[in-house]
Amino acid sequence: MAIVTTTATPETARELTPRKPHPMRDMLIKRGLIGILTLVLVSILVFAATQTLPGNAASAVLLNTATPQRLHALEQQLGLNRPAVEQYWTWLTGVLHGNFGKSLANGQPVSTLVGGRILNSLVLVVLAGVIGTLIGVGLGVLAAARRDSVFDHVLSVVSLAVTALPEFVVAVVLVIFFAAVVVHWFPAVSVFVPGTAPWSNPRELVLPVATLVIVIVPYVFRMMRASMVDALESDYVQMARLKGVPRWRILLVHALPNAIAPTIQVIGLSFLYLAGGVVVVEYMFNYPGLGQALVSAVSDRDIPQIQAIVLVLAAFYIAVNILTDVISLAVSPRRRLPRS
Amino acid sequence: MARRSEAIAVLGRAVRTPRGATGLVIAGLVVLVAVIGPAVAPYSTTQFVTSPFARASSVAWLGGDVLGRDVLSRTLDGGWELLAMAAVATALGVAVGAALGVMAAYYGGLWDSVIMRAVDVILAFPQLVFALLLVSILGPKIWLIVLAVAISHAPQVARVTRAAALDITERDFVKAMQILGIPGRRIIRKDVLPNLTSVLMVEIGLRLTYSMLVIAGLSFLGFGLQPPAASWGLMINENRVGLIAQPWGVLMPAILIALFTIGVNTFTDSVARASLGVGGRATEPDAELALVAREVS
Amino acid sequence: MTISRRDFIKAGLAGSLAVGTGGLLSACGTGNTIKPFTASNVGRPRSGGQLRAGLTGGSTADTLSPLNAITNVDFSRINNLYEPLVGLTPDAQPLFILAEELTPNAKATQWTLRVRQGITFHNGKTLTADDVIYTFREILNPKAPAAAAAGLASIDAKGMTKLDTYTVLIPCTTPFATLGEALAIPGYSDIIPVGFNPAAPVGTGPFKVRSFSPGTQSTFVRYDGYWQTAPYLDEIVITDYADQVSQVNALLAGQVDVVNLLSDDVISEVQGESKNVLLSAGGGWNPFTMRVDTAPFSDVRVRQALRLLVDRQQMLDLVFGGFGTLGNDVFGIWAPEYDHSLPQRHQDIDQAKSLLKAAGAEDLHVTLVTSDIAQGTVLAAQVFAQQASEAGVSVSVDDVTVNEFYGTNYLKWPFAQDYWFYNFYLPQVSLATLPTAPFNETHWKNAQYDSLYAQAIATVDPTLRTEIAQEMQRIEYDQGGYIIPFFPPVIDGFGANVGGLASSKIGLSLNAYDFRGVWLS
Repeated sequence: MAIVTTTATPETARELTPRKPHPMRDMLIKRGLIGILTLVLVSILVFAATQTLPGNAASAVLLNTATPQRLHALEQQLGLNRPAVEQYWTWLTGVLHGNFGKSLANGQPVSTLVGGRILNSLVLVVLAGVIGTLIGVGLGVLAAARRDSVFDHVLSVVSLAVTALPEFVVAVVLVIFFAAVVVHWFPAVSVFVPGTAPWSNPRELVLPVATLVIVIVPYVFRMMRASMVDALESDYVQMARLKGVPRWRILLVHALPNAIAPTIQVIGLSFLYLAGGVVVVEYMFNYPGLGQALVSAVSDRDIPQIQAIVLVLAAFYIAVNILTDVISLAVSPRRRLPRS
Repeated sequence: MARRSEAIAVLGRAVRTPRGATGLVIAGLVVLVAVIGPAVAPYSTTQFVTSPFARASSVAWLGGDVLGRDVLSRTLDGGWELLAMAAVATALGVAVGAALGVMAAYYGGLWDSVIMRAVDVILAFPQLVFALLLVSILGPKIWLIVLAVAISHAPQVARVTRAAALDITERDFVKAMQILGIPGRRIIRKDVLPNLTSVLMVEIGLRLTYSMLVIAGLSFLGFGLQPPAASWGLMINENRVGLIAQPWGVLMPAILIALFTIGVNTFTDSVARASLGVGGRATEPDAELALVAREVS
Repeated sequence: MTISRRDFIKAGLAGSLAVGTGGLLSACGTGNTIKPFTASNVGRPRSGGQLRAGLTGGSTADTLSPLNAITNVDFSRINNLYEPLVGLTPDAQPLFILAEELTPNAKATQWTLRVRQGITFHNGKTLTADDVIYTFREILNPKAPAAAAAGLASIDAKGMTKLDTYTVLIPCTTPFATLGEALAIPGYSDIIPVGFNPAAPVGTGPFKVRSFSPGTQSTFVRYDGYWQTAPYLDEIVITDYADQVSQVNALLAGQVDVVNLLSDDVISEVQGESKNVLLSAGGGWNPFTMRVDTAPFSDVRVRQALRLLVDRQQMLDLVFGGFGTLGNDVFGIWAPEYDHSLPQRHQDIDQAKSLLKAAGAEDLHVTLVTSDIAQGTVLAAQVFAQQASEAGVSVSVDDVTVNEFYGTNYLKWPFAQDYWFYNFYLPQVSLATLPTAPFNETHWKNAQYDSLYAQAIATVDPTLRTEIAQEMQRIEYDQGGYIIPFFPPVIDGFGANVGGLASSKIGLSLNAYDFRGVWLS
């Protein structure tokens, strides 16, 4: 900010006082605007891609009953023979009014169709994210506290191996063990009554969430452990030890708050990863979420649905990114690690 | 020149650690199986040798697949395509990403903004979803899968190389060369890139793991290589229905994919540690922090 | 000749139907010693209960309208909500349902149709001739023709008139002696009331809609005003499943009572957990289609060679566990006119090779376009490729997405596959093997064949018609563009508490989703 040094008149007096910096607010505004721009770009790209598809929504619906007359009639009904730009524009203006259009496959409003799916996927993502974070953080702290012990080494090796496992392998193994062959504790698929909340039958959520948790825990664990180890070696903590502060206090009060900042980034990234990982899990467990909806929407060439789902995913990504940076920024002023 | 041997020195250090050696050996074994496999397979991949989902027998050591073909032969034959696709996708993604990242760092200004905005747009997608969208729209053709995976790698690689390159381009000796009028391309080639080798090596390792996971994941969802190709991902999908009766059709390719990715991941981990230790600048916890941060993203 | 009740079987409501399936369904040659149930008799019929069905094949394009029913799962809803004028028995023969009498004139250019009295729709409205006329005008609406329009093209819907409250006069623009058979195909004559609203659909069927979530779930409740004996079940819940593995898992875990379209690979798994398997000899068919106007298939010797190199039994064994029926390159296997005396074709590699040599096509390379359009299609393509290699023919299989398959190149692929639901012989001809047919994927054009058809379609006497039809079949057998190696089986699964299911030859699962006679013990 500039400090004005001219002799002040009353009107310019206000310019003399420098503005207070609002890094958080500025960042939010800037990132928010960029986010919106990104969303628009994404929607244009996806729409353009759908125009290059072989076959369209009409042939996707009619399959082997498609005669030229039936195709033509359906295309007209769906507005598919209008020029592409006009179709996109109609869609965009609709979205700005909160109307995401009607599904080309069955005529139902996209917002209802996708809305329910969003909730279902969100439940999986949030549950897996929170549980995974808690387990990862807990294990990380423990491993750092018992650094170089057998416990620590075993966890490190196991987590390195698990991060490399494909998700569907984890899912298949879990199903074999807990649902189909070894024991039958949990259902192998979810049978959803549309309109009911996903949490109304918790047993059905166990295996899908467990798969996702297993996939993200190693990342959170390793990050937490690494930054805890780092924090435990700082002068600040050494001082507390010399002063005779009890061990658990050192861990939780002195070291953990300082170690949490880099882990926030990883936690954020884990949530982002979950958004994609949820696709395989939904396929495996027949879970009616966004991933399943996207796959069938593409298969049906249902452009309004594709657009809506893609937008939701992109918005989720952008939002989590912004949130992660905000939390990091909020947490980091407290990070004090004076090093020699 | 000094930097090239530095890269080799880093690799050498990595191989000598227990983690590095284990990772390299495991991954190497899988590569060996994939490369030599087709030559030692007892049957062809399309021959019907037993009944569908037959159990392991003297005729078919790992039993039959969904059409009664030999699981062992198809497993031996089903790796090289997958590995080749993963390798090419990785190489392409890293090359393009690194180029973009370096250009953004070196030239700055408008270049930087445009490239980074494009990166943000592509990064607004989970990697798997992005590849899935492309492939399900345009059909599961090999070149398309490779391209889709490469494009999904490029942004992350660009980000990482940009950050690493900025570190260098901000330094005085580079600025000095610019003032002297040495062309940008030469500076990049001779001074910036060589300093990025360890960063790139780690990126290649990480991206290779992800390429394998995404391509196998696509096959599992039915969007990868199509029949009658013998490919590990496809085998998992088409034999899934007989999992209870005859698990080898699914387990064998899954185990091989897992071993490969675990091996590569472990080796990459050791390379990253070795490279961060080089120069003796960072402490161990710092190195670990930086490493995990790279691995997760 | 009047088609009267004597000529058709009046099927009793299913209770303990044990439809004979004969030796057609033995699982020979695979070592598969499981003998699946072919009917279920579980305890005694009992009123009440909710049947949960887990079905694959649905999508967000699921519909409740009979005009646009396309997929297998659509029919699970349609067949319970609505009823046709003429339906099919479990033996896939025509049966009067809503119709009472259907009489042609001598030239087969005009039919008189009378519907039964005392039938009500779910909203209480009585079924009359007006509804029949309305239905056909909707089906044949030139601006938005229904899926059935192609097979009923001869009907002059505009010219239909009411003779009295329950009788309709149906004029035809061209002779249409097989109208009765055509109406029997699922979806072709489901009657909707005048002013039908797809958003609040009503029919005369045994169940009415309670809720509908396309791609996810639909629920139905018993219609107490049903004109036949009311069904046992109180409710039906149909849930869409993405794939067979989830279905089987759900069945084994007791989350659903019935599942459709299983592959033979899971039979032992299902029965191992004391669930049951319903096996039917389906009437649907998956042909390989060769375009007779494109080289190399334009040479009839090449076509015959390709037909001869298929080991049909092996294909059945590998793809369907040996279940199903061998095909003979002619469609319409359950039709009365089907010529069972045509010698069953078997694999003959030597003959195939010599035919190819005579045609100068010894090292033939062809591309076979396949897609996951129906169960077993892609697997059958792979088996075909492998079998062809024994005769020196190299087949490269091109697996495209379903959308691409039915996209702009549909009906234009030189060598591909397809899937057809069951149909009678002459109606199928009008759909696929005439130059004017809307789905002439083989681009077949044979003058003698066409003139035989013109004769047959105007012949009201079934015996004479059969003779002509069998001449046509002979031509197809010798020269046609279809390779029909098999008629796939239909394998469904059901829980131990489900009674009253019966197998059928119609080719739609679960006895064409006829849940009227199903009960839960």
